[in-house]
Amino acid sequence: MADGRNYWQRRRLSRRSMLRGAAVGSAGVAGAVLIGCGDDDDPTATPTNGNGGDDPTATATAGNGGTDPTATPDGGGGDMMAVAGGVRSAISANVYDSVDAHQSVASPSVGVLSRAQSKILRFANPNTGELVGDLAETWEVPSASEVVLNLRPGVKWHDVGPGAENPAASPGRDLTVEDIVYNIERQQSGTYADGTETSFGRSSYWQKIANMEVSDNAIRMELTAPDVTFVQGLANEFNQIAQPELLEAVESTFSEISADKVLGTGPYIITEWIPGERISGVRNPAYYDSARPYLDAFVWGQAFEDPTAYRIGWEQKQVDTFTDPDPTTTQSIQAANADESYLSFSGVANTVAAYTNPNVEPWNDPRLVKAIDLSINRRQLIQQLHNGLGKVSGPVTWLQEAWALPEESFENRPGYRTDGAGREDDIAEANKLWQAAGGPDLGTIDWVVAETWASRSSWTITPELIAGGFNDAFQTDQFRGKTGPYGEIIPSWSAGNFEPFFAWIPNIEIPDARADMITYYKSDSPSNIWGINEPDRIDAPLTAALAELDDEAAFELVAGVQEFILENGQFGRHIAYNYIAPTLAWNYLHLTGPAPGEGWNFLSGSLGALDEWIDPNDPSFDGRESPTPTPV
Amino acid sequence: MAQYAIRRVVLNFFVLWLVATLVFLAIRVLPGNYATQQFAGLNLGGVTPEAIAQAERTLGLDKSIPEQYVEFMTDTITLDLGESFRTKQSVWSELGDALPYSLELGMLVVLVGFSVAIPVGVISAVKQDRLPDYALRGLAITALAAPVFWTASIAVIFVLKWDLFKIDVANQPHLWEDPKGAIQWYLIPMFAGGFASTASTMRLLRSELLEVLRQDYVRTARAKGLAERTVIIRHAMRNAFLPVLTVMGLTFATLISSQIVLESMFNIPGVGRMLFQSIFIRDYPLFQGLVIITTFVIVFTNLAVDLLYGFMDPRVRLS
Repeated sequence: MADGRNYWQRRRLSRRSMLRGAAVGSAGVAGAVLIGCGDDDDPTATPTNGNGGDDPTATATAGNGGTDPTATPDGGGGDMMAVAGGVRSAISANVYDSVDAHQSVASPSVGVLSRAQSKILRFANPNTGELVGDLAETWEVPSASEVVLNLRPGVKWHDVGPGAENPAASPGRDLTVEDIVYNIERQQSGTYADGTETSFGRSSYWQKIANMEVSDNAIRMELTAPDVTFVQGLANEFNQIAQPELLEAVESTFSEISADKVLGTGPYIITEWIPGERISGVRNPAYYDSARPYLDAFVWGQAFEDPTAYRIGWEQKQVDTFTDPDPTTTQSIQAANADESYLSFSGVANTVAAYTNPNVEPWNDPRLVKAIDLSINRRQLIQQLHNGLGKVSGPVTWLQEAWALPEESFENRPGYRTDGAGREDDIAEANKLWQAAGGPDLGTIDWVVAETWASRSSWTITPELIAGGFNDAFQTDQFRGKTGPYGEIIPSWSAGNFEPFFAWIPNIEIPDARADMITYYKSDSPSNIWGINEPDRIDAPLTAALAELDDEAAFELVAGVQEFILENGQFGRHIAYNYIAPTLAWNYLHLTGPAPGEGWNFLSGSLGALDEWIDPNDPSFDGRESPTPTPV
Repeated sequence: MAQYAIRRVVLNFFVLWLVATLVFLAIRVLPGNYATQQFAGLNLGGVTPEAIAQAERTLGLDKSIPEQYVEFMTDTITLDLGESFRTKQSVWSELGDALPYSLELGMLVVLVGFSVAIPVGVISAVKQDRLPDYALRGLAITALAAPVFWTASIAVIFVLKWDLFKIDVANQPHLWEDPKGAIQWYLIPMFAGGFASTASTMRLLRSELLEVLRQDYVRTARAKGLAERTVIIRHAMRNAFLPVLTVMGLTFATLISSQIVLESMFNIPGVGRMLFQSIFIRDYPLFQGLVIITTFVIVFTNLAVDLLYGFMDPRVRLS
């Protein structure tokens, strides 16, 4: 079993080893565009979970991109041959918004759909961004504004199951390049087939394509501007490929969830999808990778509202994994079953941050912004709220490990320091700025903590911790913590009139951090709600980085921007940390990850679907009752 | 009596209208709605006012509050309670799925509660101020003080530690599908819930019985030479039981929708948990529908209990 205690202290994957892969890909070698190539001799890659629970199987697997059935890193420890068969029992999140991944705004739906639908590419290692082919067997990046996709031959749409039985579907036919082009053009247009306008979440991503040329089984994409991150977007979980005929038939009723509206080319056929009750799928015997998936089927039951039910379910082997927002609960249950279970540690892609609004007074005063940034005691929050399971993050979170500033550099960075004297210096500096900005005259300052965060038992104290931290730092009692629903925070966020708040926000789109940096910090980005306008120090280097084929050079540009952002108190976007969630599994279940006991950070739904396996010969398997999947 | 019943029925419908209006407004007073709640798990880079507006349009939340109210009341009068935002199933269908679970649990809780409360209440009254009375009252106070989640949690720990029986939280069997599995699943919640409800009923029965036992007609019955058992069961209990009957009726009605804690702890997909979840995710139609139906059940159970009074007590019938 992995020693989880030291998990977050391990050495990270060296940038050199990751960038080496990217350089090869950038040179245009088909099938080798590896932005973050996992190095065999460096098993230290950092991990994490899905986007706050998009995939009930949580932690996922490495494997060699799903092509070599004999190489299966397993969470249970040791190199073992994967055993085919078995039914995975998990729980599912309750809220599903769409059967159409393109129209979905919530990751749980996409987590289900990714079992049935493939993407153009997928991540072999989401932590680093290493890609492998999915529907495109190979791809080339001849320049920063060109991508060529070569379709995998012999891929067929599901020919059985509820989706195949839908009269609108064409089951069992071959996938064509036209299918892929249809999926892309549909999202570019922002309309249904009948011309009705709608909203596709990744429309702006696909609009980066200026022109597409189709020949035989290849697609050549020309981008509107150089963007070397574009290729990673092809592996984004939302960018799934669905059958056009069925899409047209169900697109206007996308929010009415039903298994007969899903038809893909992926590893599983969805046989039942009843929100709030049950989701079931069986192995697709015609999947293009005949060795995958290992499991015969999966059954996701109703999510447990209460940890007690979840614990009963896990201890009696009705479900295979357990995780609780309070890591101490998970760890204590593991300790009680130490011989038969293990913990898999995954970083969580929900970035925890405090936000101030520079569009309104008094937060438009840079001194105040800097004072707040310096006074947040990030490391203490990790200790208090997560039992020490977490790592501080800067503008690029540590989850995007190829692009984040080195962890060691945070040890002596203002606002992040680890030593007591340094922390005292930060507080003294914060106080000076607070006084100079007229902080004492600001009256009561309410700091909102998202209620979905604060309602969790171990985090109920968060409003007091946040407000208390500021009060202590500024030697005042002006700060007052209160809770507020995301339902209120999000509209005010998008409208740009939000109150200061503390929350987790899944702000990572792909492992290549350049795309997210552009989204949040470039002056003309619609998501730059802080109104950051630094043409020379941010816009220019980020634009250059986006076109830079040399990843070492690109990293230096991005690192420079990060340093500048940190110097300026993060412009009100006070990124604090990303925490680590332990998942508890019986030894018979082999989760996947970059190393034993480690899970992926995000975008791992495809990997879990392919590479998890169950060992019926493991002693812990005794007493497990296999759930019954819904047959085709 | 018939006039009384008609008057009460009319009054009940007024109460239903009032409750419907209040729940319609109350859920909308809460910040946010179902559409915006969906964005909580999303990369905020992708959240735009347009995306929120489209989600609201899909759910009919773009209409004004008065428009929504008129639509809601019109539909409610025709017994159309709408569709759940989350599942797109009709509220009736959702209730149809959840109600059997709540009825099963409710009946078992009431069964356990009254099976314990009635004999204990009688013994406590008959043995007033003696050791059994003190012991049973102490037990009642303990039951009253112990929260159900605590009692249930302790029981769960023992069951898991010694692997006593399977608590089927994953498959959620009904009593008629898998009686053994269902009883095992309900065992802890029914005893935890029943134990908690025992206390108030037992104390009520005891005090009523003590009062009745002091009545002249009881003395007369004893003077006639009737056996003590007959005096208590045939004469005293019938009168002492009237307020207990009221409590029983209301307890059962409220149990249907109030077992939020136990339903959550044991993954029982009943009405209470559904109600709680509908508030949390702002599923307006589901919340409104469940509250209206629950109110209907409670007010008409109350009416039925009042009418039963008349049946059991001729004085009420004649008045």
